[in-house]
Amino acid sequence: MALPVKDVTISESAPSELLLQKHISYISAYGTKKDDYEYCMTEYLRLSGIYWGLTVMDLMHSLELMDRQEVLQFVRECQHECGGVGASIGHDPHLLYTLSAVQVVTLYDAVDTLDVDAVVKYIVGLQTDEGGFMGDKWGEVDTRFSFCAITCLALLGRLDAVNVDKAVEFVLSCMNFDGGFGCRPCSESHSGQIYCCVGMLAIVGRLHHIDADQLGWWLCERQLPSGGLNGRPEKLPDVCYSWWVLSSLSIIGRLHWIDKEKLVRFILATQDEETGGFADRPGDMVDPFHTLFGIAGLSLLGNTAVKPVNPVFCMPEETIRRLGLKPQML
Amino acid sequence: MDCAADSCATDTISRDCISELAQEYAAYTTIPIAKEKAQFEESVELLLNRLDEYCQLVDLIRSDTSLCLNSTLPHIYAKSQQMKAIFERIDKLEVFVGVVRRNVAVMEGLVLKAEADVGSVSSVKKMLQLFKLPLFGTPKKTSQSPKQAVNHGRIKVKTTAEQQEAKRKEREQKLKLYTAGMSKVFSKRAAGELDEDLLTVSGQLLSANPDVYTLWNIRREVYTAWKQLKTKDEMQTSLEGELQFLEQCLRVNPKSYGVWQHRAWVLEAVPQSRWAQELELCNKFLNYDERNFHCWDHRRLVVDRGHVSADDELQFTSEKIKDNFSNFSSWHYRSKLLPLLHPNLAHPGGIDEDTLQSEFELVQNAVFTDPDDQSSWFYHRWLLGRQQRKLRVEMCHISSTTNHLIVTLNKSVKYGKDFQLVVTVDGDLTEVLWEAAGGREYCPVWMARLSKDQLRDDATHKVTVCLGPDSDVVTLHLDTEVTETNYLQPSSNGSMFSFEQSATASTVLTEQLDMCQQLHELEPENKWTLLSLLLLMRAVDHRKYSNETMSCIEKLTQVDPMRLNYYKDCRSKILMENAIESLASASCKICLRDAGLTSLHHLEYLACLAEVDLSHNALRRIQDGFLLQHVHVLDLSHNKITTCEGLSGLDGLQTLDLSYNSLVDVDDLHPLSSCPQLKLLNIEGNAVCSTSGARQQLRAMLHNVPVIHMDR
Repeated sequence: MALPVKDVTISESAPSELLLQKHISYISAYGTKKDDYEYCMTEYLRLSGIYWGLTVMDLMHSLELMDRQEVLQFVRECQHECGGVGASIGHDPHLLYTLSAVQVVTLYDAVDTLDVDAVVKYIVGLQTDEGGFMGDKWGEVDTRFSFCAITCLALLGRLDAVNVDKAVEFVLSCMNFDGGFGCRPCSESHSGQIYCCVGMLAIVGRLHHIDADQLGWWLCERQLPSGGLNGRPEKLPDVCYSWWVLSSLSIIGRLHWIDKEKLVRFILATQDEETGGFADRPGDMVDPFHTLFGIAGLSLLGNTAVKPVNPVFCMPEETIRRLGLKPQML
Repeated sequence: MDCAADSCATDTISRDCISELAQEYAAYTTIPIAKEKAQFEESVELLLNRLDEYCQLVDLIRSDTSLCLNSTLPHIYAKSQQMKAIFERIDKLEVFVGVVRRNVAVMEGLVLKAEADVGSVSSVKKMLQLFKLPLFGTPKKTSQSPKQAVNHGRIKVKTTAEQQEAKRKEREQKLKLYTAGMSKVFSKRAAGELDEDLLTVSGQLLSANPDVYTLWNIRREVYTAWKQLKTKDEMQTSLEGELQFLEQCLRVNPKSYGVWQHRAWVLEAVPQSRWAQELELCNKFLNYDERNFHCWDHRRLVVDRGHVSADDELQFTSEKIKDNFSNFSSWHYRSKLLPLLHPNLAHPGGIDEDTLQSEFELVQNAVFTDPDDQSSWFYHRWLLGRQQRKLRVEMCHISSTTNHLIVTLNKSVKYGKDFQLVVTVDGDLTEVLWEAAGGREYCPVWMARLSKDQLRDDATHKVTVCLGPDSDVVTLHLDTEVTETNYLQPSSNGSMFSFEQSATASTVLTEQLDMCQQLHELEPENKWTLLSLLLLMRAVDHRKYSNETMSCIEKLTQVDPMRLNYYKDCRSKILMENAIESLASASCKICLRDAGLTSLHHLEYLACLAEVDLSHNALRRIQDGFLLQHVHVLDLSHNKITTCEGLSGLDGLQTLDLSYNSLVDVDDLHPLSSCPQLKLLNIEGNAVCSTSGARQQLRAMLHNVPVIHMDR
């Protein structure tokens, strides 16, 4: 009854060099086709899309190709009176897009674009009695939102505005038998969620709560024979986990527990030689989300053609240094 | 007469002239016809050639056409006749599939009922599941959702220009509908028209793309407004309709956060609760995909609200595991349910011994069936457990020359919040100011400085340190001979670090060790067995199995080379634990020279030592080096160290040997400028020595260090 390992094979002809110029063209062209079907249909996550695009362009030394004025104007128009930011103009405020907005204005060193006091007030209002955070006023609680809230406040230098001890308590209540974290107490561990919780604890300097050897073991077991990483046991590999797993391992000082060369090979194989961009798996459709996480993963793996990325904030290291932020790293 | 003669002569001349002129004119008008003719003929020739080619082409087409008419068309006709029959058969097959699908659904219902009546009949269910997904379910990869900023599992397919054009048109149409729909929804919302129409339009949009979160918010606004306007029955009907709509959405996209969140909201809002029925939906969706974590989380909400017992849920996970051992989600759920159902009173968070025994048996079945299944091995590791440790003082150091008091605790804690220390000197309660190593907030190593009046090096002193009324008192003695001393907590049950391995009884551990040894004999290359074997040998008797432990690790690096560095670090951890355990209470030094260390562990246990030798290893960095607060002499020579990060602020450090490492930049040594006592630094054999001007730069940067040895 031994089940075959879920994995992919990488063909000989898959790209094995970083096609930096193609990726720059892919991202810089992405936002210019405003009438494009795909562009319009992803309106509901536009601001996150902008964050992915700008960050990956900055990592590829090409931020100047993006339209700063247009972006900042858009971000301004997405902020609501309550302080929260929506994914696009007219869309409701949510912590996910509030974080993207804060990351974008931080990247551009233009924090004043937003009403910062209002953002802080919005985030403070979303903390629950248990210490967790709701995504918006409708009440969904998730450790992703704990990360969003704490990261926003750290980037804005306003961590003192919320109850950090309570926030930590909630995140720890979502820790599991395998050392990982889930969405809510009792939820199964998931690499994306682990990144959020480990990142959040790193920002507030409480990584001592983590059993780094236990968690690191579970995380390095995400690597499959193809070299790619999956998000949970018995799942297929995906480039975005090159980020979630890798950044978590990097924060807890155990990046060397995976086979770096094989992972680099896997990430490079997901590039599209024709259009540029990265896909989740070799041969699939590319998108800006996987393009950021492909490039950011390669940066953590030591590729020097791109800028060093900060494993906690998923932004260029130089930006985080400019802000004087020093998240804890084991 | 002269005149006549003159006129006669003039006439002759003009006649000559005229004839000459005429001749010239005649010559002028003559056309070179031959040349013209040649050119003309050439053109005609060319035209004729073209005509020839054209005729050939016409011939070719004619022959092709006749071929087409006489032979290919009849072929196509014959084939299309045959296809008619096939189409009919496909139609019949479709009907048949429909019938079977209905039958399976009915049968599934009956099986569920039967199961409920009779108990689990998992083999029947398993057989049914075999049919279900690939044949009659929707294949996973035909996602129609138009996500493009985030694509998961969308295979790139090459298309022809024609297909592209058709797709473009289709998308143009869809886009029009989407844009029109969105603007209608937004304008109705702005106008406060929270009506049926708004639900219809937003519903159409959400069916196509359930991730447009704002639309779910708008629907909630509609229902919230209706609550004031409609009767309870009307609300019940509306919200039940919403649940049906949500189920349709889930079938298309069972992993949409927005859909599950809205479903939870509707279930809370519906006047007559439907938690019991909802459990059925969870069962159904976990049958489609037993790893769907959204559905598992939804299930836990339903269980909580519907007051489903933890026992029933445990039963559910047992069935799921029987269906498929390799179900990490189910194992995970058990780890949450068992401590509630069968708590271990001695070890908070653990489970009682009987339950533990039966869980071990379950895992044993799983790993003997498929030794490569990681889910059951992760669970096995959890069962072996880690003890919750009570906070205690592990080590203490006191010196009447430096007046330092250093305390090592077994956890990272914050003074005032997590603990307090009571100190007495010669019987007098003494107020001291505690500071964590490295200025951290949470730390296992805390330091205080006693005043010269309190602690004199020419007197005898008795110093006690205690965590509080329930804790042991640590006593340290100083006199004129002994001006500094260390205390080391005696280790109970032989191993200081056994808590890392297990909280379970030793008989259980021995049984598990036997089980793993058997499995190892059957599957000598299986890494999971090797890893458990390693863990169990450490837990049962780490001294007895010390050689076997090392050969286990050696084997692991061979069978699982991808995680080579993990196993190397495991080895380093074991070696350090062994060395720390061998420390005697009076020890002030530790030697881990030439041990093949790749990483450092438990450095808090070295915090009270004066000499630490870590030379001739494979260390790349000094993780948590800030904990070595008392170290005077630190030998890190012959490693692969690239950075001195971790060596900052070491107050006691006097001699540091970093020779033969991989330090490249002068800046890599910067942290050493914060070690106030550092007198001798050796950096021979590092690349940094050969950088031009390194000596001057280092002198300037490390002006606190009088002697720096480096290559000439």
